[in-house]
Amino acid sequence: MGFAVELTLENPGPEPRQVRVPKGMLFEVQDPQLHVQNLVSARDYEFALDPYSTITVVVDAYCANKSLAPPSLTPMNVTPFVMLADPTSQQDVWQFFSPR
Amino acid sequence: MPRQGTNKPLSGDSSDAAGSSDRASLVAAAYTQAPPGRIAGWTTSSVLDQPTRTVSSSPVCPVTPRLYVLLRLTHLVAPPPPINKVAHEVAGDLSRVGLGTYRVVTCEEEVRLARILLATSLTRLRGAELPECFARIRNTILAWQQQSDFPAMAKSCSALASARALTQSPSQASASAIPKWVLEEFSNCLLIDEELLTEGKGLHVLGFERLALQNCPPLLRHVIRDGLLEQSRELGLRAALRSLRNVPPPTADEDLPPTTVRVYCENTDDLYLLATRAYGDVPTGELGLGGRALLISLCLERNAKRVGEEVELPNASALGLRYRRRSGELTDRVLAQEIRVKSVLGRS
Repeated sequence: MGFAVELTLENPGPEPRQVRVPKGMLFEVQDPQLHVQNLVSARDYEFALDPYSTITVVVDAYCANKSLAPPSLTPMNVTPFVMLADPTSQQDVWQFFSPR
Repeated sequence: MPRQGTNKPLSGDSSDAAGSSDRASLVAAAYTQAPPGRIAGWTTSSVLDQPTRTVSSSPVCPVTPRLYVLLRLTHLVAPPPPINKVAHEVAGDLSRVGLGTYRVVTCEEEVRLARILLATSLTRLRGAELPECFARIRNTILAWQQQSDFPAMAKSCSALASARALTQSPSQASASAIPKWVLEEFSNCLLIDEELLTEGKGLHVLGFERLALQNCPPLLRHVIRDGLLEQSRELGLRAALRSLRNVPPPTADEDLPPTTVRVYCENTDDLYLLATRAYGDVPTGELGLGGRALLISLCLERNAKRVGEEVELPNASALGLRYRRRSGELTDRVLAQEIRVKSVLGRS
């Protein structure tokens, strides 16, 4: 797997939390004018966060933009968007997002 | 050479149509200007609330009607001695305008006319507060006309001296101070001090397609996107973009249908601005949850080879994405503020 998202999450409350990151979830580069690739979660993940804790997890990912530069510790955001597909390879993702 | 009170046929102002090629426009805009056609004895009228004047025309005059400039050929600036050099050429780009002599060049076979909006003497009308009908009656049109052996080829140019003050003082002139009515009525305007004009020092019309600015620097350079056609385009674009929703309402069970708006787009900067508008309902990164930059990025990539022609603005569904907030997933936890996103770093 060529790409990854380093995700640092905090549970600010007194309750333990389970968090799922679904396969196909997109992570965006904060500045689209940087022309850096956005990333797609390559599989389902589930994490447990203890009360008042912070964890850093690494999520394997595919790149969503074939024509852009690869990220290099590039600041990103979580997005509420998931792919309407079930990609099994990088090629699948590029094919999916390529202009039709 | 300018002349007064001519009854020569006047060609229409097609600057709006010319401008259509260099601005983002909705190709399928529902509102369009009347198509070019034969015009015989058409009455020039305007939004300026001035008496109209019927201008005879030759039987064949295949031009687009002037829509909002009243032609009053009574206030002409005397031409100065000929100036041999052309300091600059202005083809719709006013950003480089300064002192000098200008040639208003043709664009796609349509004459782009210079319209010069003149700041009025501020001691007269404080136009912003005046009723529209009163504020407009003292506008003055400066017009000059091309000489031609063929009446149908004769063309007119015009400039407008506004009766309404734009700002409290010329020094306050700025893009942000331009009132809405200016934006609605005029395009490609220069703002010039009226006193200098009336003294005959500042502006000289040098015959068709030429004018000179001497001792009279523009107070403001501002390309205004307006005109009836441009307004129509903007209305059409707004309407189209309203239909382009990316985030379903919280109560919706199903995702939004795929929708794509197609617009003409001149360059990447315009495309970026269009995309920003198209995805304006998407979060921008508050709480660490974004989405708008993603859609913009995908849109830019998809249209990389289309800039300069018709581009596509697909909504999230048409990009193959689904807005999803399922219980227990990261998006839901973040929106419920049960989890905070401290940082997200992408790497390869």
